[in-house]
Amino acid sequence: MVRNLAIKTLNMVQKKLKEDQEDDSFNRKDSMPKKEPGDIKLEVEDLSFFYGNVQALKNINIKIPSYQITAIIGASGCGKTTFLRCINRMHDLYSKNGYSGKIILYPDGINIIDKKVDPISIRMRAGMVFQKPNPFPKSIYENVAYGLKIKGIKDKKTLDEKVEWALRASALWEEVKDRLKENAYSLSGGQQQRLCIARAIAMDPEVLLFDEPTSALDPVSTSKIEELILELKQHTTVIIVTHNMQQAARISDYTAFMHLGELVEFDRTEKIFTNPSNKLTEDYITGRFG
Amino acid sequence: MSKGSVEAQQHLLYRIKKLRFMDTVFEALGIIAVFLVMTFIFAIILDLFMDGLRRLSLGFLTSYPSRFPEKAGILSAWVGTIYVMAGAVFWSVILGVPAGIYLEEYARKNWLTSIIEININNLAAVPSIIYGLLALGIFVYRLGFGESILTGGLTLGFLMLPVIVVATRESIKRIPQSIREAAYSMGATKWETVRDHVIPYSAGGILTGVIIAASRAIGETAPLITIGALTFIAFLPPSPIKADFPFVSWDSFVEMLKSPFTVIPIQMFNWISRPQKEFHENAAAAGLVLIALTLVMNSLALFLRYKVRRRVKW
Repeated sequence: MVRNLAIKTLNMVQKKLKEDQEDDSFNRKDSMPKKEPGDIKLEVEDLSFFYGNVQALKNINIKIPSYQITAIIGASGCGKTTFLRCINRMHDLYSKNGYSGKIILYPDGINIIDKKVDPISIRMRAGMVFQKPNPFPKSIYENVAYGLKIKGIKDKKTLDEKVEWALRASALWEEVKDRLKENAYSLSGGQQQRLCIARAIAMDPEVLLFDEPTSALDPVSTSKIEELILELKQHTTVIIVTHNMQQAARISDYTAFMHLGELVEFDRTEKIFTNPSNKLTEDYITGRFG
Repeated sequence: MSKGSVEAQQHLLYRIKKLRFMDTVFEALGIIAVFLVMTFIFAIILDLFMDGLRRLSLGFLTSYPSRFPEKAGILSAWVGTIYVMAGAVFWSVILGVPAGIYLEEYARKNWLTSIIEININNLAAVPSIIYGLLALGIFVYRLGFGESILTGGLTLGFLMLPVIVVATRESIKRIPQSIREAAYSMGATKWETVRDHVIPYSAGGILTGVIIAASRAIGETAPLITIGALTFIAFLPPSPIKADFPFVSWDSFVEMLKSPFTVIPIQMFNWISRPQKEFHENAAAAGLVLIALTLVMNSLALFLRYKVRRRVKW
């Protein structure tokens, strides 16, 4: 009786260990995690978006994986930025815009574009980095601390720690630690963009949205930002809109190709760039249009 | 090189020469215009100096008006000017700045806001005496404020209002939309965005607008005469600031608001309309004081603009 129990326990432990190993290998391969829904961060169902009467997005369906970098590519005007700005409800700032469909944010499964959901609560969970660096004309410190302050954190020590952490995580700390009181506009363009990233990650966002973050920067600054984005996927789910296909190929795990407001193809980046299933995708990435 | 192209070349050189000549002509015209303007301004100031400098003294600033020109001073006038201007700045800022912020940040852009916008721009061009008539009807009679400092402040405040609304809106418009989006993207509410970004970044422009509006209003005579400001005041309004604790007195403040007043330009008008030459000298001296006050205010505006521009840049 006791022996049976012992064998049973042993089997269970072994089974558990094996499962754990499998889980590990999973992560090491960096493949798309299969657990549902915990490993999907955003599930977009039939998303359409209208600027007044103009339909800018048409029935988008996509599942964005957690802790991965998803790139959105496509020609100008295809709706990539429009899609990105649905995720943090930026469109709500302007009247006459309308959504239909669902964007489910996991783990809690709320529908981001539900009218009942306060966009402020979404924006606190989904940070955004814009095309042109747009730091506030305040001190470097104030820029990073701003998000924390509006979250209600007042304790000086917590703020200091968090600001330092965010600046280190955005590879800016060494360059600015002696001049945190200086105006953010005394920084170079690339530094300003990293400051904007620091400002966004200080809020511990679950999703970080990049809207062509390097299009206004020189190649050196661009490569620094790209390294940074690669690091960031340890902390957060990254979605990046980019004009630059090489950039998408270099940094992303998944790539979505959009064309005229529709999602044409979404797959692992290698697949999209080596063996796309859709003729349109192939034409775009080989430079036949766009 | 073919013959045709040589000719073309020569024609081009001729054209350039002609245009260069026009450059010189226009520059000369510009210099003449600037010279005329400067001469005119200097002539006014020089004239005031020659007439009034002799009368300008500490005694002139600390004496009440008198029927003896050599004893007369502008004490009640400059004190009145300061009280009325304080009131005018107060009313125009507490009404104008929020109105400007509302119109720029909150109001939807539709036909109604367009009408409001056109109206406010037109108000800036309404002759000041019309404001005086309005104030006479509303503040003096309807609301019963009388010919008081309160009425004077409100009248000039309303006169300044459209300029301040426009200055506020222009200043807010200069803030790039990307800055607002940055704030909103971090989860700031509209009020947080306005409080933390819109107001601080536009403060310099608003302040400059306030001071410019104030330096126009300080010289206004017509609307104050219309509301019945007196030309002869031989006493000061009660001071709301006291020597002993708690240093301010509400009752004296109310008394001050209710008291009659005069201002420097009205005092000047009064003196200039008298036959004696000595009174004309007094008017010139008062004019110098008024110009000095305006210059101080304008320099303050320049300084503030410089300070804030250095802090806020995109």
